Parts: sequence; structure tokens; C-alpha cells
Amino acid sequence: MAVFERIVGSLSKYAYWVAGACVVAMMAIVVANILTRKLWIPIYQTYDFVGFISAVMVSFSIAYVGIVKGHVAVDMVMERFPQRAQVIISAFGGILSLGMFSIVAWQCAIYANEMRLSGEVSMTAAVPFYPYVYGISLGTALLCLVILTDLIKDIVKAVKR
Amino acid sequence: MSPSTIGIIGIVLLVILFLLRIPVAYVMLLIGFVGFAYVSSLGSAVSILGKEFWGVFSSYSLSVLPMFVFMGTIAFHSGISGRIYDVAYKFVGHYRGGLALATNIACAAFGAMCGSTIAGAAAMGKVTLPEMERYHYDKSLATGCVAAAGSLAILIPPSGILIIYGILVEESIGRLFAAGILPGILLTFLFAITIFVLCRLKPELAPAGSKTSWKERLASTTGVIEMALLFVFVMGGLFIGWFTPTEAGAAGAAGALVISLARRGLSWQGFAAAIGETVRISAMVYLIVAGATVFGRFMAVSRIPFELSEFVGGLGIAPGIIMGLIIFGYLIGGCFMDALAMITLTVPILHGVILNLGFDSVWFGVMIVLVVEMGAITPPVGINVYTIKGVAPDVPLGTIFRGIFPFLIAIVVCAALLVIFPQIVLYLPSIIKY
Repeated sequence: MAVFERIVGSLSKYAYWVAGACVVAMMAIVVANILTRKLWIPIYQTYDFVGFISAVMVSFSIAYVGIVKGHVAVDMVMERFPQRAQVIISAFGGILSLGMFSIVAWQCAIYANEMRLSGEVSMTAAVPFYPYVYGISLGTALLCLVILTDLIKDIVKAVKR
Repeated sequence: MSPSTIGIIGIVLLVILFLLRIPVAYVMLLIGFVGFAYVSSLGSAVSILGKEFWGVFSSYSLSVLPMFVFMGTIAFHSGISGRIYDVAYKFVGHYRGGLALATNIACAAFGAMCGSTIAGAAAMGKVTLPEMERYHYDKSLATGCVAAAGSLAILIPPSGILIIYGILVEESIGRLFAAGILPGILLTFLFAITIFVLCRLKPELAPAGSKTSWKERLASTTGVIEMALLFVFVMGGLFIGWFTPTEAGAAGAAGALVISLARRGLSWQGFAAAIGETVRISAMVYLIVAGATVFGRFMAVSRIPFELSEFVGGLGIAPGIIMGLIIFGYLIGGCFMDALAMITLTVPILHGVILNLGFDSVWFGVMIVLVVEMGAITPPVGINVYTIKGVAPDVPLGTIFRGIFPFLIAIVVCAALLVIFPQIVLYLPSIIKY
């Protein structure tokens, strides 16, 4: 379990660094477009590139944000429950979340495949969409692993008590 | 069961799951998906997931958020808050309660770089609370004023909440930002009056500082002048149509980065932390918006927003009273729930009702921000209060909440003025281009 958790943690952290690079890249390309538009000609593909970079940034960061419990949740009521009830409810939430994001990861993969087969590309850059949609599938799959890790920990805790 | 009954059951389940500490984004996604599948079909519910996630994650219009967040986090880590405070103190520090007045003004100025109430309270709290402690300020006044004034960051543009609102209701971000300026100045002024009156009534709360010469005052402005110019450039560029909102945010982030590096105010650790925080906040918001989009699809097929709109319109009650009830509902909800969650959940349902009653969408956005500000400083959630508690761990929570009460009255007065004189909100949006 510890090895599995370490692997998931490392993968999420590497993905998070990629997401960080995307923030800087997004700023750079938008500013470059502003400057070149004034001085010479605009970078017409900016709109497309910002969309692609944004997709990578978000999908590669949601897993790590899940690890650091950065996704907003309402604490107030659960804090008043006994520890055991908290663990059981948390496991119940984990099962629901795992099921939901597994469907999202699966559906994004299907959607990416459809885009690949149809040869759909962006309007100005003429870049295929599908690699980025596969990226979303990968990011949500990584989030599933994070949720699974927490779920296993909750089950172990509930059984031990 | 009719679709609207299923919709109501969905909303009740959503609230129950929220309370079970399942992340808000996950719950909205889950209930939206299951509800949509129940009302339409499993096949169509499954097929929208890939499209909706791709649509939200790759949205150009949403990219305005990470850019403005990046600008704010760079400002946070570059130490600008200390310089802003120094300038404000040199100008108003000689009045009784001058440090509190300076805190209020500095929070407003910092809000012009940063769109997060937590960052506003944390950045200014770190700088101002030790100073106020040194001059034996009443702890209640000191902490209450930072917690309240820190919330100005979400009213004065750029504002994270206004960005999310604008995206949810497809309103121009530029107009929303412009709409926040005058109410932001008004609220800063009302906070200042509150401090002034408190210090008049109880002079022992805060001493007066020493007076500084005009030469010293003007010299201190060199520490913030470039950031002030950057704000004028970014917001001015947005309002006159030079920039799209995303471009304004990117230009602001790049400008803040260049200024911070030139001043040697940003370390590598600070830069990395700024990026990390930007990614974390963006991921959290994007996932909530994706969940809210799927939930919105469910609401649309359940016809709840339309039926609610028709129902409220048929009640024959004055729109002002209905608006008062809605704001009251937000205020109560804001005491228990995270602002972002509350807005993404309620705005898609209520926005149609608001327009049907004849209220302006931009005006409503600013009113929501004001109510969220109240939620940020009222118990039991009161996120700003906990932020200040983190900065000043020795001050009991009760002392901070007691200090906040007078400022809460100021926000209520501000809200009332905006209801009576909606022009305060709507004048600037009416004259800008974008």
C-alpha cells in the first residue's frame, strides 16, 4: 500500500510540475501575442494554444490538488461526528467519487478516440484536439488513483477500529 | 415523477452530500450526471461527460482566472503588501487609529492586485498585525479591521468571484470588474468611517501615530508607484478594449513579475510558490465549473430554473422584497457554505428569476460579492477570520468576531446604498467599451 501511495504521489507531483509550467507558458504566449500584434502581426493561433495549455494545466493538476485536499469541501457537519462514522462516510464518498471519475476518464478516452478517427483539428492552428482530450482522460484517471488510495486507507482504518 | 420533482430531490441530495464532506465539485458532477441520466437517458448522460470536460478545461474565457490569480500570487509573494502599508501609514498614520486606517486603505490597494479575500487578509495581516500590536492597539479592532478589509480584494477588481459569476451567466468580465470599482471605494470609505467613529467613542482602542512630512509621504510612494501604474494599465486596457480579460490578466501577471524581479522582491521559492498556488486554485475552480456545468444540464432538463422563474413571477410580490429575500438567503447560506460552492450552485438556478424581476445582471453580481464578503467574516465559516487566526494565533476567535461586528454593519450599509442607488454599480460599466 505504501509503495502504491508513493507511486501515485510521485506521478501526481510530476504532473503538477507540468501544470505549473503551463501557467508560465500561457502567460508567455498571451503576452507575446499582445506585443507582436502591436509591433508586427498577431499570433493567430493564440486562442487555440491557450485552450490546449489550459486543458493540460487543469487535467495534470487535479490529482495533486486531490492529494493536498485542495478541492473545496464543507467540513462543518462531519467534524461533529464520531471518528469511526467519519471514516465510514468518507469511504462511502470515496466509492461514489471513484465511480464518477472512472466514468469521466473512460468517456474522455472515448471522446478523444472519436476525435482522432474523425481527424478533428483546431480552427486556426490546425492542431488535432485528441491528444489533449486523452490528457484529460489521463489526469482524471490519476485523480481516480488518488481517490482509490484514500478509499483503501479509510477501509483499513474502519476495519482496524 | 415529473422532471421538476426529480430536480428538487437532486438539490436535496446535493446538499446532503455536501454536508458529508465530499468535495463540492465531485458532488455537483455526480448529482448532475445521475439526475440527467434519470430525466433523459443513461446514454445521453454518459456522452455529455467527455464533451463538457473538454469544453470547460480548454475554455479560453475561463483562462482569465489563472492569469489574474497568477498576478495576485506574484504580488503576494513579492512583498508589495509591506510597501503599500508603508505608504498608507505615512498618509493617515497621524490620526487616532491611524494604523487601522492605513490597514484599511492598504487592503483596498492590495485588492487592486489580488482577487482573493483569503490572500488579501493573509498578506495584510502578516504586515499590519505586528505593527498594531507594537503600538498597543486593541486586539479586537486590529484583527477585525484586517479580516474585514481583507475581503475588499473580491470587490475591487480583479475579483475571482466576479470572474466565476461572469462565466456562469455569460456576462462581460470587463463590465463586472468596472462595476466593482465604485462600490469598492465606497466600502473602503465606510470602513474608514467605522474605524474613525470607534476611535472617537473609545479613544483607548488605538493611539495616534506621529505625523510625517509631505516630503516623506511622497518619497514613500516610489515603493508602489509602478504597481499602481500596472493596475491602471491593465484595467484601463481592459475597459477601453485594448485587451481581452485573459490578455489583461496575462499582462498584469507579466508586469507584476517584471516589477518584482527588478525590485529583487521575488525569490525563486516565492516564484515557485506563486505558480503552485495559481495551479492549485485554478484546478479547484475549473473542476467546480465542470461539475456545475454538468449539474446545470440536469437543472435545465428538470426545468427547475424556468418553473421557479414563473412561480416567483406569479406570486405578485414586489421585486424588491423578493430580492431582499434572495440576499437574505445568500447571507444565511454564506455563513455555512463556501462562497464559490454557493455561487456555482445557486446562480444558474436564480439568474433567470433575477432577470425576470427586472434587475440588472451586473448589479446582482456585485450584490452577491458583497454578501459573500459578509459570509467571509461571519461565524461559523468566516474564512477570513480563520485566516487572521492563523496569522495571530494568540488572539481568541471570539475577540476577532467581536471586532468584526462594526465592519459588518458597514457592509450592510453599503449593500443598502447599492440597492437604493444602483447607479453606484452601473455607472462605470455603462461608459466602458468592453
